[in-house]
Amino acid sequence: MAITAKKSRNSRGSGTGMQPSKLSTYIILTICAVFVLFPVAWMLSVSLRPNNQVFSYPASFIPQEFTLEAYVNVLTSNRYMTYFLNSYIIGIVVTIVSTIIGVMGGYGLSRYKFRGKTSFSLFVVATQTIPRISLLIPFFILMTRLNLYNTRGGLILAYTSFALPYAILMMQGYFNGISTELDEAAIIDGLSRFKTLWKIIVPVTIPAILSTMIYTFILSWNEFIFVMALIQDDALRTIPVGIAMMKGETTYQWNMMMSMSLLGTVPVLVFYLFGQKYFVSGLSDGSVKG
Amino acid sequence: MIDTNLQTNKKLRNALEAFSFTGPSAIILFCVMLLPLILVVVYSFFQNMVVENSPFVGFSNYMRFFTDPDIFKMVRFTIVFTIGSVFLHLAVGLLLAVKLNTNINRFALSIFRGIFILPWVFTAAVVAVAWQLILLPQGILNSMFSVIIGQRVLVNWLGKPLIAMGTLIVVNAWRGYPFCMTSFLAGLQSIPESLYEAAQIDGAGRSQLFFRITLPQLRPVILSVVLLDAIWTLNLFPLIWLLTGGGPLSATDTIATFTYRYAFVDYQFGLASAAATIGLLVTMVFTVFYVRKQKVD
Repeated sequence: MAITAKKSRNSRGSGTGMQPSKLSTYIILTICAVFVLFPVAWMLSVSLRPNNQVFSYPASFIPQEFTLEAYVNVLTSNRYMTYFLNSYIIGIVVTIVSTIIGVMGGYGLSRYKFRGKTSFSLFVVATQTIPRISLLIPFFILMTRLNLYNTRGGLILAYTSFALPYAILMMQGYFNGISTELDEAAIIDGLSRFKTLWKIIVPVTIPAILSTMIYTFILSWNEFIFVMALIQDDALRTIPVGIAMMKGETTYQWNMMMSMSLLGTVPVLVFYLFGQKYFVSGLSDGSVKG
Repeated sequence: MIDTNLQTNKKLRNALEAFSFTGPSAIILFCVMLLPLILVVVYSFFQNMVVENSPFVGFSNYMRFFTDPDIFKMVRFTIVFTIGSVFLHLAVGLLLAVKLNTNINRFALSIFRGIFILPWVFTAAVVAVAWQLILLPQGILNSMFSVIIGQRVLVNWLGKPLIAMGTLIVVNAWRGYPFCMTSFLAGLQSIPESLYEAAQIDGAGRSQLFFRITLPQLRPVILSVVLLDAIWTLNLFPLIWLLTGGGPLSATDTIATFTYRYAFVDYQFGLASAAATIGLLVTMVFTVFYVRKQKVD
């Protein structure tokens, strides 16, 4: 899927033949870019100034006094670094677990016919649209009874509700694009189905698996409502909820909130730049098959 | 005899193999998806399942939900917010996708594309705090208006019902259009060049090309994106919760903030389950259309 999307991008010839003058295109794009960039630039600007200059009037866009104080404060705070650590631990575990199970599930759906397959596939597609809030209440009640409330384990379980269906769907799509001749050859050579998957099929889908993993990690990194409702200990909270909690404190450290926000976005940005080629097309393929 | 035995054997083997691959997924999804969905409906008929031995109360949670004094405001904002957000996502996404699909300088193009995808990398909590900082009465937005007008402006962008409704739609538009844009861009790039060439030979103008070729060709992508976006917007929680908390005076409440407040502020889990079930039913209407649009192999 990603490959076809890439191809069509590369094969884009001399445009669509319907361009107005180039100048107006540049003007429109630049105006839009200013609107899009403004909040980001302001975050950066505030993160680089002392907190008492956040609301100076008249406002100056460029900080009158540059300081890395906010970044130093965040990076040397045990509390804030714990949020980062938690986000990484949960993101990595959820990604690995749902990728392994998703690869198997995707392969099963791609290669076997069995009773209930259509309804299972439909169910997996439909889960993408289930509001997390409607899962949250049963999760809360069940996890309180099973002693999973306020634990990382409970959180990881909750996260698989959105990470696993995504992994299954993406992998099924990629496996469908691989000829079954490869499987058949391996089986004739005496490999079991299981080994065929892990030793023959998985190695040729590594880019697809990586892009699925990256996106799964980003989904986990961004998750908010489950942490908010299923975690009570500050020491178990992740970055998005940590940032939201800074908002509720008595003195607003806006410069620290902005530096924390930007630092918390860095991993997503890096992953985006790293996996852009694969998963932007994957993103639209996965959900929009047209 | 032997033949049929062999066949059933093969069938059984095939079924076992299929299960060994899909079984783990099926079991986990049953536990974290199907079971909770069934339970939330069951809970909605009990007074408060967080307490042991909670009594069965029939439809009384639903009655309480539908007679909530703020329900009209909630329904109104959910509709306005969803339609407004989806429309803006669509319009901005389409405009930028079309503009990014022209053959201007390649380097400039990749810079622009990088900029326009940017809102997508920020998580909802970050979007909320960043915009709150901008929108505060003493914030930069009012500051800039003050400079333009020449006198101090102190609009409370999140504090007045009608203004807050509009503000949330704009913030959500900023945040959500990249998904539409990238989907449309991928769609545009798969429209065959020859269609445009043929139309141009026939003397079609620029707007004719757009309305007669681009839009019809993009139609399937647009439909899917609109459905998915409507579902997401309908159930959007963190952005609204962190910016307005559903206020002022319930003006920006949605079914999601309602449900969350019932459950985790008021601890009325029966009522919250009823609200969640209603939200689920509304979402499922869209889901049916969405799943029908997807080709399931």
